[in-house]
Order: sequence, then C-alpha cells, then structure tokens
Amino acid sequence: MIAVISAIIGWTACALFERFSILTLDLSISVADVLTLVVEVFVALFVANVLEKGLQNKRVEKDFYFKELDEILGIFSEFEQLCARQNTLSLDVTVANLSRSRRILNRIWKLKEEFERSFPKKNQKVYDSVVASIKDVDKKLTDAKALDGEPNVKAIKISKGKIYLNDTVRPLIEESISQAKRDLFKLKVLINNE
Amino acid sequence: MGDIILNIAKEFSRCPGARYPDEGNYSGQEFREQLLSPKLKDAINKGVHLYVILDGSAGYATSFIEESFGGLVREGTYTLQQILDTIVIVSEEDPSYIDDAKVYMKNAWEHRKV
Repeated sequence: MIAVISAIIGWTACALFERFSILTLDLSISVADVLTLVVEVFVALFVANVLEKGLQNKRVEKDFYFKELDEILGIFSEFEQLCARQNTLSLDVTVANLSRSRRILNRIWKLKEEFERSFPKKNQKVYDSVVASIKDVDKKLTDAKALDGEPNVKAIKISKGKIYLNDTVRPLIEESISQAKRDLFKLKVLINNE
Repeated sequence: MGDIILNIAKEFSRCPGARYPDEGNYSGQEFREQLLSPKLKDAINKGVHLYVILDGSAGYATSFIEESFGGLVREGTYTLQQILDTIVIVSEEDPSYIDDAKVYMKNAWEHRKV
C-alpha cells in the first residue's frame, strides 16, 4: 500500500516537474547510476537481514544472561536486607536460595562453554572469584564453625533450623554479600562488553 | 558385583540441614552416621564404588557437606585414599560441591595426621 502510494506520488511529482519546471529531466540511464542503485539496495538488505538480525540475536542472548545474573543479584540483595533487619533467618530458605544462585551461575557458565568457548577461557578468573565469593557467603551464613579462630568474632548460631546472627558477625556477612554482588556485577559487565 | 548408589534427596532428605542434630533436622552428622558411613563400609568390603548423588535436593549448607564428608575422614576408620578411591560424588546441578567435599576430606586428613 505504501509502495503504491509512493509510486503514485513519485510519478505525479515527475509529471508536474516536467510540465511546469524550467529545468529539464535527463531521461537517459547511466550504467554507473544503475550500479550505484543496485549496491545501495544490496547494502540496505544486508544490513536489515544479516547485521541487524545478528545484533538482535546477540541482544536476546545477553538479555537472557542478564536476567539470570539479576536473579542471583536479587537473592543477594534480599540477604542484605534480611541480615540488616533481622536477627534470625530460616536455614532451609537460606540454603535453598544460596544453592539456587550457585546453580544459576553454573548454568550460565555451561551455556557459555557450549556456545562461546572463548568467553570462559578469557574470563575464568572472574568466574572463579564469583564462585568463591558466593561460597564465602554460604560458609558465613550456614556454618557455625566457619569463623573458628577469628578473634573477637562470635559466629552465627544454628539451632532447630534457624540461623541466629549477632552484631559481631553481621558486618562480616554484609561485607561478604557486598563482595559477591561486586563480583557478579563484574561478570555482567564482561558479558555486556563482548 | 554392582556399585552402591546413595541418593541423598531420595534416601535422606530433599532439604538437608546443617552440621549437628541440635542445629536442625537432617543434619550432616545424622546423614553420615545413618547412611554414608555404613554404605562406605559396605562398598569397601565388597570392593565396589559408592556413588553419592547430590542432585535433586533443595541445596546443601556448607556445614552439611563438611560434616558429612570431612567427618567421614575424621571418624578414622579409613584412610583418605581409601575413601577417595571408593566414593564417587555426583553433582551435575552444582559441580562445585564435588570440589568442596574433596577439599573438606583433604583438610580433615591433614588435621588427622597432625
């Protein structure tokens, strides 16, 4: 419909131009003009169908990874808030959330290894530090013996399925959570920049 | 003779707890004493592998893994090498549990030697 209207407008414009303008139209066709037109049409089609599509696919892929990483970041933000506001956490819920975040991370890395082998090779250190920082949070929140030997720190207490925080261990847990979030954010930036 | 399979989620709990029974239900100590240790003994006596499957549960506290596997070494019945040669840990959902368990076993062995 748009093509038809454009053709009618174009034809009308040319007819009016030829009739009323003091300028004249050169009706001869130059080979160079035709070739230029063909190349322009080819480039337009190539950009639309190949380059744009490739970029869109890449965007969809990145959005998938971001969604997964955002889920982990959401888990840690929730931990942050709970630890700041509450003195007790549910052991089952804490363990399940930490495990979920580890599994999501493992899933992301497996996909990267399967579809883009160069990415894991280049960024293994960042991945390892994300894993280590999540494990650190895991230890501090679910192992009452994790801080044995730390001076002046009373570790968490676990009793009857509840984790009991205290004011000496809370800052250490909060710092671990912040570190995990920083490392996750670094991974997000790396995925975005590739 | 067939290998022995121990599926934690199916045979123990889908929601394993922490380290000790007083910390909550389904503790690592309970798991080790009731299932892991007897099955390890059985596997070693029969000369087969013991496959411990971690998949299918809601997750594991660090202390559960440490008390289960590190505690196995601390029991003092078998050497680290005997345990490592017999136990095969399966964890496809989160392979890092396998590394963790091995580190805990090795650390427990180092402490045992001291």
